[in-house]
Amino acid sequence: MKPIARIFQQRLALLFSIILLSSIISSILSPSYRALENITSILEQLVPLSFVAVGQMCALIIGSVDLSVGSLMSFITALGAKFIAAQSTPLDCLLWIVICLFFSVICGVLNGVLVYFLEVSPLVITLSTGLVVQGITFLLIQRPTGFFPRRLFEFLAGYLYFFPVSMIYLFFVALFISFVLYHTKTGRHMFAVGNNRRAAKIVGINVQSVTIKAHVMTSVLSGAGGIFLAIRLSSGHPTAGSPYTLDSVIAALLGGATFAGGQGSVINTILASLLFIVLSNSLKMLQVTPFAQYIIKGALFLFAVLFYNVNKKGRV
Amino acid sequence: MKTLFLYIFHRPVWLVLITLTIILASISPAHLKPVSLLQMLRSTVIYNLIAIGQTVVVLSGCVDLSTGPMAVLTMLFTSQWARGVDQSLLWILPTIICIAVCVGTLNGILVSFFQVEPMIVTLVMATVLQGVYLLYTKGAPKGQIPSIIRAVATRSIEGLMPQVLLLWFVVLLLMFFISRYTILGRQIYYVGSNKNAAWLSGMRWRRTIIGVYITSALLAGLAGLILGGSVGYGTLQVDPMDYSFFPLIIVLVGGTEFVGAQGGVINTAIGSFAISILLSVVTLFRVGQWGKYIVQGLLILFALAFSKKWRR
Repeated sequence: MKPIARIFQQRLALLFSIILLSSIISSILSPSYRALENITSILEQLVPLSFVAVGQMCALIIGSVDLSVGSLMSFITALGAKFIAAQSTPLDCLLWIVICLFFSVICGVLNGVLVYFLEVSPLVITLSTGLVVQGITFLLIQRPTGFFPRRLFEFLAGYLYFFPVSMIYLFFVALFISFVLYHTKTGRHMFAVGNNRRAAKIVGINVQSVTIKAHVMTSVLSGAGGIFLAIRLSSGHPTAGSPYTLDSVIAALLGGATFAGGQGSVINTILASLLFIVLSNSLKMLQVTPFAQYIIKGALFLFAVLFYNVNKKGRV
Repeated sequence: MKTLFLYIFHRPVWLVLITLTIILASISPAHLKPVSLLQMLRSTVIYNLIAIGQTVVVLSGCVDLSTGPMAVLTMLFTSQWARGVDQSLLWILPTIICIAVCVGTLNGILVSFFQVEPMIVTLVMATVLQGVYLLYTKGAPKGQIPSIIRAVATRSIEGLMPQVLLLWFVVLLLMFFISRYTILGRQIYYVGSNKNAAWLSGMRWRRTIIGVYITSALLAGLAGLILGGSVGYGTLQVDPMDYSFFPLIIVLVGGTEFVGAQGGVINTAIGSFAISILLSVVTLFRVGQWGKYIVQGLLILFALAFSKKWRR
């Protein structure tokens, strides 16, 4: 059992080899998988999921979790559908982005305050705030509508030859979040709160502000993911974000975060998101029915749970 | 007087009931006749049935969000397999029971042996079950629900008392008796209040949790049959997560605490009354889909805000 456990602990290597293996298999089996357009498409799909998954990881680090991210993303696409039309100017777009981030901050503060003060399982609290946000989304639009002119978003979602520009944003955001988590006081406090909340309180860390900050990070990152999702869809959709709730949790778990808190790594989470996208893309290219995706998610989750169990030593 | 006030204030379900009854009485007094009250309860009977199973799960300190897709899966599979033939129920019902037991056991094992958060386990299970029924029906369900089930689901006794309400009442009494007066039931409370103590006193708490999830899945299956019976055929035009969230809301509003071992089946019965009145008020105001979501979210937050912690 020991060597197996050691491989499981080298998460980076493991994730990387699974991604490589599934890519090789599907590129042998399907010519359309190895086409350049498909690689572009995979990278483009990776951006929103990575943003949300990294955000979810921030919440998981402090021992909390955020199940409202999907609804927030849907809300942002709905807002875009209301805000942006064919004759919009670049200023409108900037305004939309600012408003989206503003709403994300509000949502994060709300989640953080409720999680800190109600002291009930954060799962239920964020689930219910997510339901409220979903309701507001349905108030804005009832069905997929709206139109995003592509020319307005060249700076966010254009292409350098085949390489999507959004990947560059993802790279810098990942660097920034890594810096915040590993090299600032806030980040270290987040890990401390996740590892042992009582101890953190006793040594004088302001648990309340750390909780709220972590939730704001989660919401802002998922808001950014929502912006990229809306641009990729080029329209508003009232439930476009809902699969991202579970996907982000599973990706963050695969990337090494745990529900107990105190663990998480940005690069592993992004790799786990890539694994998610690569698997679903291969299935699409191999023309498996789309409904099988649900079951693949369940399998990935089981895998993540096994990880979690192997890594968690000395539990009661 | 003060004690009475405190009693009502500390139990959100009474606040909800009283406020809503006043609103309902002022909008349309006709709704407060016994017959229409029975009809109101009838309209939410599927939620109420699932809520009984959910109560047991919440009592043991867990939660089950896979009930909704389980109910829809039951409805779709029954209609697809039976195609309206009554005799086929002889093999369909055992199969459905097997599926429910499998789903419950899987949930229970993941929660108790692997110690994963119950809410995430059951959410993933909900996604997987949706995938299973979408794969099986290929997105276009066929067939018909057998006429026996349709009769049970739609007929009323003497044109007054719907049969399904009677069924609900029987299940309610049964679960009340089990949870109050049998060793099995007391074990659920024990596990919910302190897992470690239960384990140290030699109780097999993992078995209790698996059993609790099986109960919930079985009741969800029963509710799915009644859902199918009222519609008449398998349909994908229902939101499966409704049948997960509304029962949870009924349980929480009724006063069963999320931390486990607080409350019981009777609380849930009162919660069912409150939610059925609430839903008819919401229907009277003609709010659309957005209203449903906002009401669901705010109700859970409301129930949590009034939870026992604040009574200290």
